[in-house]
Amino acid sequence: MDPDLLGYLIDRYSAALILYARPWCRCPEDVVQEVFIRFARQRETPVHPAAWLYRSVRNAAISAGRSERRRTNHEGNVAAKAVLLFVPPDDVAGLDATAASEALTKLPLDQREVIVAHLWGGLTFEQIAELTGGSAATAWRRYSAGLVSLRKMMGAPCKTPPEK
Amino acid sequence: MPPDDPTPMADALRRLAPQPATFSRDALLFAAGKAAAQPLVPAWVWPSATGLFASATVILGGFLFSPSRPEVQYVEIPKVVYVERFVEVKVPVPESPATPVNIDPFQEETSPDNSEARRMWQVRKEVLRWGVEMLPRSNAAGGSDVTVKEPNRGMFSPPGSFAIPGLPFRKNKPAPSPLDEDLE
Repeated sequence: MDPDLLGYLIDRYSAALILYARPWCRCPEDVVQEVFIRFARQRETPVHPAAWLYRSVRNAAISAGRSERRRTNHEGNVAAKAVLLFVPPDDVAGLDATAASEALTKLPLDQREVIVAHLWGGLTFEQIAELTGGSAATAWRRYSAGLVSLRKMMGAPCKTPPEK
Repeated sequence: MPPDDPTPMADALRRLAPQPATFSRDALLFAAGKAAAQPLVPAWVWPSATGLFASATVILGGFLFSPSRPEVQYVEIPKVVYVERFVEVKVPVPESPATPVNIDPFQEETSPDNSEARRMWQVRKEVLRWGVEMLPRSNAAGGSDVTVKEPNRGMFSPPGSFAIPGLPFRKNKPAPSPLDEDLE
């Protein structure tokens, strides 16, 4: 495994992977680290490293969430816990990070998963469909529905086409 | 642009940066490199395999040198060997008389009665040796013994003797045997 590639992947995808794994477990950073270590042990580099990382993080996060629920017996606490998911932007005209975090947390899991994987992970809808086990059209529909829900929850105005 | 176009909202969301990871990047790289250098086989496999084979060796060695092992007994089968050798066997020989046996019962007889018997015995010996032609012919029948024997000389001559007409008959006597010498 090329260490430069590994460093680039860590810099590029670690934060997005943590955001992606957060709905399933309470220790997404541990899951992401384990996935990167597992990625380093691969004898051959995957064709799509980002897709491989997202798939591995998803499986590991789901598995870790099951273990946590079995230990603590506090189902639903992970999803209900509200944390700040984004860094407050310097641009005042941008979205509020806290509102975006709350809105994203309230989204259904399938829509949130697609939005995070596409916006911050850079995965295509085909890759997301392969990751989630559906079709690309389904992924696109979930993505669109999620964005509409976010816009409604955040009170963002809809842009209307300019009148001619 | 349609009213539900998610592109502006997506662009706005994309500008938000997720919370950075709290773990150390260098520590993660070091752990990843360490994991990549480790063999895929767990560390306990080789010691376990070594111990297993060592135990098997000890057990098999114990079987090999176990005293309860039935020993192989070698039984020597007597081998018959025929050897040719000369054995001197002493056969009891009757003691020979100091003087040769006088088989002539009439040698020392000097009486006239015994002289006739001795002659008859001589004739008998000659008949047994040469045949019936050696019997003496009576004079009453006429002719001498030589005349009668002359035509038959070649027929009854012993093997190896010549019969030449005109020559007087001469009996081809074999070499005198010691028995004959004894008789004479």
